[in-house]
Amino acid sequence: MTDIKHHLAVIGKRAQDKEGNNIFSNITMSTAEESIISQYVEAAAQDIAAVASQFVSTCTTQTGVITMNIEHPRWDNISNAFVQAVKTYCILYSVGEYLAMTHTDLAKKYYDDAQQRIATITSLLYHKSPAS
Amino acid sequence: MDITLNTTTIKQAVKDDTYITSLIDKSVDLVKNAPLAYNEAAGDEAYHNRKLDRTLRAAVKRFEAAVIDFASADNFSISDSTSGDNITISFTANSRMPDINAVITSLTEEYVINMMLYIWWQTIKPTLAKDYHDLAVETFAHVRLLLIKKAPTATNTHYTATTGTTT
Repeated sequence: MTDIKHHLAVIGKRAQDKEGNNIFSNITMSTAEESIISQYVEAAAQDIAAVASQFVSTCTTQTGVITMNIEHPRWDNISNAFVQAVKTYCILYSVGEYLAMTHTDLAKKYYDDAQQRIATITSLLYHKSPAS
Repeated sequence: MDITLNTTTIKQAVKDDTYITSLIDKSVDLVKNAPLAYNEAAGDEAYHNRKLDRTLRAAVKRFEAAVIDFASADNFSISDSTSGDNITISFTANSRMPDINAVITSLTEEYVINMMLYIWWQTIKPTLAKDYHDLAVETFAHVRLLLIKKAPTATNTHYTATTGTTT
C-alpha cells in the first residue's frame, strides 16, 4: 500500500494536466479512497493465482494479507525473485487501475508495464531446474 | 540369467532427456514456451513420477515379451521382481549361451529408457516419439545379436564300437 501511494505521489508531483496544472491534489488519496486500493491489490493477486494455478495449493486473504502457497518441485533459489516480481505486478496493476479512472494516458503505461511483469512472472514460474 | 536394472538411474535418464528437449523448445521463445517446456520435462511432480513408474513397468514387460523366445526350452518362463531401487528380470537361459550378462544388462537398460521416452512423447510429439521407438527397436536388435549359442562342448564320454561301454 505504501509503495502504491509513493508511485501516485511521484506521478502527482511530476505530471501535469492539459492546462499545465500540477495534478498532485487529484491524484493523491484520502483515507477513504485508499480502501479501494486493497481491492485492486486483491484483484492483482487473483491474476497471479490464475497464471500460477498449476502450482497453487491454497490462496487466502485475511486482514489485508494475501497468502498463496505454491508447490514447485524443481525451482532452485529463484522463488525470491518470483515473490518480488509478484509484488511489483500488484503495485503496477493497482496504480494503473486507479489512474484509469481519471488519467487513461498515464494508466496505459502502467498496464503495459504490468503485462511485461506477467511475462516475467510466467518465465520465473515455469522455470524447472535440472533433475537432481 | 538375471538382468538387474536400477530404476532410479533409468528414471533419471528419462528426466534428463526430456529436460534437454524442453530446454530446446524453451529457447525458441523464452516467455511463450516456458509453460510448454515446464510440462514437457518429466519428473518430479507426483503425477509425473506415477507415469514414469507405470511406463517403466510397461517397458520391462515389453522387453520380457520380446526376449521370451530365447529362454531355455526346458524351463520356458520369464519373470521380474522388485527389491528397493532394483528390478530384476529372470529367465533360464540356454545352457550354451555365453557369459554376456553385463552387456545385455546395459542394452536392456538402454532399451527400457528409449521405450519409456517413446511412451512419454507419444501423445505430445509423435515424430520425436517415433525416433525413440526406432532407437528402442535398434537396441533390441543388438540384444538379439548377443543371444547366441556357443559351439557344443566336446564330450569326454567316448563309445567303443564293440561293447558300447565308456572308456
